[in-house]
Amino acid sequence: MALVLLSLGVTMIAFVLTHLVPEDPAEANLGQRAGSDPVAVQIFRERYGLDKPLPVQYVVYVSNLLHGDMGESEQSRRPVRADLGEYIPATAELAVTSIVLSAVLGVGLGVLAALRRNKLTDQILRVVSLAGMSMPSFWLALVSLYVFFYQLNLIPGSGRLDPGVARPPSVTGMYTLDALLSGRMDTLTNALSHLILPACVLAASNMGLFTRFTRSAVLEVLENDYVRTARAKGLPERAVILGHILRAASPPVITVIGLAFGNVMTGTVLVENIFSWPGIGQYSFRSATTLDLPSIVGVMLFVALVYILANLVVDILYGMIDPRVRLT
Amino acid sequence: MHRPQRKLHIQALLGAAALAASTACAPAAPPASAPTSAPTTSAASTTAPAAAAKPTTAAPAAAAPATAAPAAAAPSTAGRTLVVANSYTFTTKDTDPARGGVDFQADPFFHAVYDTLLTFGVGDNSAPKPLVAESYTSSPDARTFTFKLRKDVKFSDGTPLKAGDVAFSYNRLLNLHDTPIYLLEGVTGVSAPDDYTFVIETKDPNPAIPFIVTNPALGVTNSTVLKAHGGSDQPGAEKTDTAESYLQTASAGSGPYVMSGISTSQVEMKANPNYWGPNKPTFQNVVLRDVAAATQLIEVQRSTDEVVLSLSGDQAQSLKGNDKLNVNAFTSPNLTFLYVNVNPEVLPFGANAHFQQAVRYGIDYDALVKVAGAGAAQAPGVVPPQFLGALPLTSAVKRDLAKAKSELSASGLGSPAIQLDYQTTSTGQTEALAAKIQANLAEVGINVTLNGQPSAIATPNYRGGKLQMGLFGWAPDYPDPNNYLAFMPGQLVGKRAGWLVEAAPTLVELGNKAGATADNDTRAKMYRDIQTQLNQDSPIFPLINPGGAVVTTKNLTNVAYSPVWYIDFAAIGTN
Repeated sequence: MALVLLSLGVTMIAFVLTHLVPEDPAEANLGQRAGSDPVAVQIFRERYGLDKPLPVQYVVYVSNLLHGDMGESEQSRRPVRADLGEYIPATAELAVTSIVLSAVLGVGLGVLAALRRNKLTDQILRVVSLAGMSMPSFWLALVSLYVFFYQLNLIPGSGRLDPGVARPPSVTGMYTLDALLSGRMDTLTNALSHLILPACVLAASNMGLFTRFTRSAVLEVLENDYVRTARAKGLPERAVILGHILRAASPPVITVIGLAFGNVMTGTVLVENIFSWPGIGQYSFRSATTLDLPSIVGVMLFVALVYILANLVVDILYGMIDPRVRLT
Repeated sequence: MHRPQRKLHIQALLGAAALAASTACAPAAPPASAPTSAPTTSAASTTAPAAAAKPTTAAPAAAAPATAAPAAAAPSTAGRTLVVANSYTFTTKDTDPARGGVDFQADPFFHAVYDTLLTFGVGDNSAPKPLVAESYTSSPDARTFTFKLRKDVKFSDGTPLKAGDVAFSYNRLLNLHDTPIYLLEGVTGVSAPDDYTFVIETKDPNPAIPFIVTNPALGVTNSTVLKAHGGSDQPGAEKTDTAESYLQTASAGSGPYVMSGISTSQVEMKANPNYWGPNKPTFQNVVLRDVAAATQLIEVQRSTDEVVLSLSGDQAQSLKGNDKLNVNAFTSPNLTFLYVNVNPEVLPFGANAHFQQAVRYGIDYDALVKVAGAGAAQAPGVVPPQFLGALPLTSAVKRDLAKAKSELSASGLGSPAIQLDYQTTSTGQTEALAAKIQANLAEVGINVTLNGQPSAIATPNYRGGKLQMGLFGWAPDYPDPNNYLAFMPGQLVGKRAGWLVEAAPTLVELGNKAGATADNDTRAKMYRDIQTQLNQDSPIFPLINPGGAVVTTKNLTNVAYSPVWYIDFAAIGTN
């Protein structure tokens, strides 16, 4: 029910806000000459239902949405669902890789920083994490492309695959998975080599964030009685850290990872642009600049869904980590 | 694209890891039918039927596509892919010439896949040359154009291209009434009296028709294929035609390439195995990719077989010393112009001739050229220097500050205030030009307020004639001065400046005559006269022709910029 209400709210906001912009989507999409041709403009409006009053457009859209029809994109002239089906997996592949990288490294370094509190390691990690959070992602993207592609020649250039490499048969839309599923190891290798750099660039800022959050959370539980008890019982330090400290420190870290995942899934337009990564960020940017209403609403629904799911997963993980949450 | 050795090491490591990871979950071996390399591989191994390669009738020398590079001179490019990077996302909208053919960015694709009746030679846009049509005639009144088609032209599926296909393509564009409809403005009918004769009739004399038919949006589509997939050229096609979705997955033209794939970031082409022309394209595969300009700047320096199209003149200049690249920086035929609105409801003093002169002579054109960067040049008139009827640079308006101040004084306006609107850009170049204009006119005594807006806001106000003063651009639709009649009173741009027919009837009459005159020498003189008058007394001020650049890796040859289709993939060879 909450999902339905949220969808209605999102679609309504998108409809109203888009129509507040003093521009006609027909003119934005038809170009300078045809946009001044009344017949061409009228045909465009009829095709996309823009000739109807806004409330009617909204009702028609919602009615179609209930049947799984998200309308036709004005920029690609094919179903929005088909567009999203291609753009979302590209971003998902990048986002999941970067979040896994940043979570593993960030949490690990955060624990290390807390355990070495105020020592040289902690100071170095503070500088590293702050640097990661402070660097603009587009700048880091360009510099890393220059260094690792142009200067060191260690990784391939932009894009999801080399231009001459065929795309794997689409199952998930994620090239690495699809190449794996189809057994095309050369394509998998190529896709992975293209994925490394943009994923690392995206991971940099989140890694810094996770390091800071983990350090702070671990410090809060480090001096608790049960940690001292665990150590007094003679438990190995590794077991103390993983079973007692990290588990207790996890909830805030998981929350921030969940939010970061939502951000990465929906807000990577600059990195996608530099690396020619055809993801949802680029799609949403173009939808906005061309006032492509069906695509804008489709993207907004996707964004809402991502955050709902991210929060849901976080809640489930809370319950798994801390049984008291389940009881309440 | 060349794969450097060190990169292969990384890929080998990744490959080993991937192989290990895949043993548990992947099929034991790829299916025999699964492609293991680029889709271009199959194209590379396909040879064109000999019959299709040889014209069945002797064509005049000029009829051969003038853009094709001699295949014999090029080393083997089998399996190699020509990569063309452009900062434009090629979408499925851009695959149907009758619908998406307004985007200059999509035109290289259309040009490669769909032949047009006439074409231009590499670097020569002075006169159309035969392509699908081996000759054409114009009636004395320039209202009827008869094209005689070659008899050896075949579509990519091997079927012959006939006049009925041309008529279908033109009628479909007319009846879809979509983006490129303006190209056939004034066309009252097209017909195919026999299999190899095609006729265009226009309401008014239009000697530019031979230039217009070179536009890639007027590429000829295979009517049989399109009809089989729901294509229609009948009235009401805007609602009944369903061939668009087919053309999003396959092409149906007779050009040197066919579309072999499209994704969200690139469109792929492979050589047309049934290409009818005497010269086959050198590269078997072409990929047109969406790449940001900043990334293009880095990547082209590490590649082979690559062309980049989106570098600014300054960025291109920065590569001049790189001995691995060919840098072709040029003055583009695009026009950046300024106008003041003469509609008294928008700007009460816009029609004041002295005020217009104050603006005209107050602008520092040389400074604007410097701001615009490498390759830019002052626009001597609205018609770009590359086209028929252009004014020589010596006729361009020069800044005369004293005269500008004197004119402002004569206007009786004191220190007028005016708002300058323009479209903001990612490069900031328009903003810099606007700021320079503001500073120039401040010296004269005109207070300009800058109002940069995103395209979605600025464009409708510009089109609606609501702006007091505007700074905008114009890209040619076809390389003929008739395209610039839009700047005349009562025409497209003129109306946006509130400049109506009644304001300058003599000029309008001269424009109508120029637009209807067939003799090139006569019309060239007329257009020069028109522009001279525009430069003396009009609310429109041509400023600059911005710079452009095409940068290629050193091994590529015959890469020439075209104002109609940008570059011709099929013409590109290797050394």
